[in-house]
Amino acid sequence: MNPLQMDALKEIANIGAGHAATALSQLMGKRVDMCVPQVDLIPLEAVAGYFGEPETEVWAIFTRCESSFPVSLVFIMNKSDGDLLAEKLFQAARIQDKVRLLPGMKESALSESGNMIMGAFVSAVGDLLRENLPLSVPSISLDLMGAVMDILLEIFGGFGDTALATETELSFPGESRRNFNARILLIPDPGSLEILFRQLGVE
Amino acid sequence: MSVHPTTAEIQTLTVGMGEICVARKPDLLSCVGLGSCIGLVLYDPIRGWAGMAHIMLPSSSSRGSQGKEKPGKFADTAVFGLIAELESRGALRSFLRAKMAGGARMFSFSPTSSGAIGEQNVAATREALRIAGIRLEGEETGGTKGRSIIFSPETFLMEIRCVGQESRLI
Repeated sequence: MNPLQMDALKEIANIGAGHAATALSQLMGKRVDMCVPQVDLIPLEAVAGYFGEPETEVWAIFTRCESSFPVSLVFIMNKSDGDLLAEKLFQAARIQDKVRLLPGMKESALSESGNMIMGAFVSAVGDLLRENLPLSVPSISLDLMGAVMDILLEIFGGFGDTALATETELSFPGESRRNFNARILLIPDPGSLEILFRQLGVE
Repeated sequence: MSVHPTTAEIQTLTVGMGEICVARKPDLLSCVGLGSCIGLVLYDPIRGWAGMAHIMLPSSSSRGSQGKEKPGKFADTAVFGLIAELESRGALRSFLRAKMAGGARMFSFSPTSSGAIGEQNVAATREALRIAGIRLEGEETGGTKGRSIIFSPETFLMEIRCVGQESRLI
């Protein structure tokens, strides 16, 4: 990939993250910040530890976009941050603490918010391509970071030895308790980037 | 619950992706955060040696010399890589047995058409063991949960931990 293509990818991630931050902010009714996304080529042997300790427990929401620009997206939050997000969503929906939640409610709330955020992300790319990019139904898992990151092996294992991912972090400024972080991985299928680059004229 | 009976100074070797490590008592071998990957252990219960591979992909074919350079990375080369490592330490091939865990499908659908990589890893590892003539003494594979494993070359037990579940011994 040449520097121009790297920049194009970064810019796309940047716009996507902006949309995602807006979506999250509307959902929560508070300001959400995001950092400038990174674009990284990750050696397959390093994917498990890419975000730090492979044994950290995380909420991960996975979705696919099958279109002319096939891409996988993963929204990753530390367990405690995901729990907090679910709590805030229930508060916003006026579901009181005392009410006993049905099993699966938290998963459902988190995967919906993940889907919304990733949908915002992908629709930003769609605007650029002048195309409608629909997402699949999200799949959620509470698991070890290392295990979640194996998704990169699944996508790239058959093709090569590096995975390409763009990553951004979202946080809530002024959140007195502590920082909240969420990461979005945008993982284009091998070969699908070429389509994008052609569209953008940075072949 | 622990796989290890004593509290002497124990070193735990964590086997990174695509690596192979060998140990004997009282040290322990571990793989952390296995999703679709496989943690494969071969051990010689008589001589007391054990080796662990952190397998990432089913096959080294179409990968040039990679299978030779990093045998632990592929199911088809990891078994023979482990045998070679263990024999060089004095284990006897005819005593070797195997245990494995991993090969989960983390999300309910797969991004590739060839099927989930976890299932392919399990099948390829079983096949490689069959070719090498090594008996699989225990396994816990598949499912939708990631696993961390610890193996003791003293008790020859593998402890399997998943998020939100009791740990198990095989």
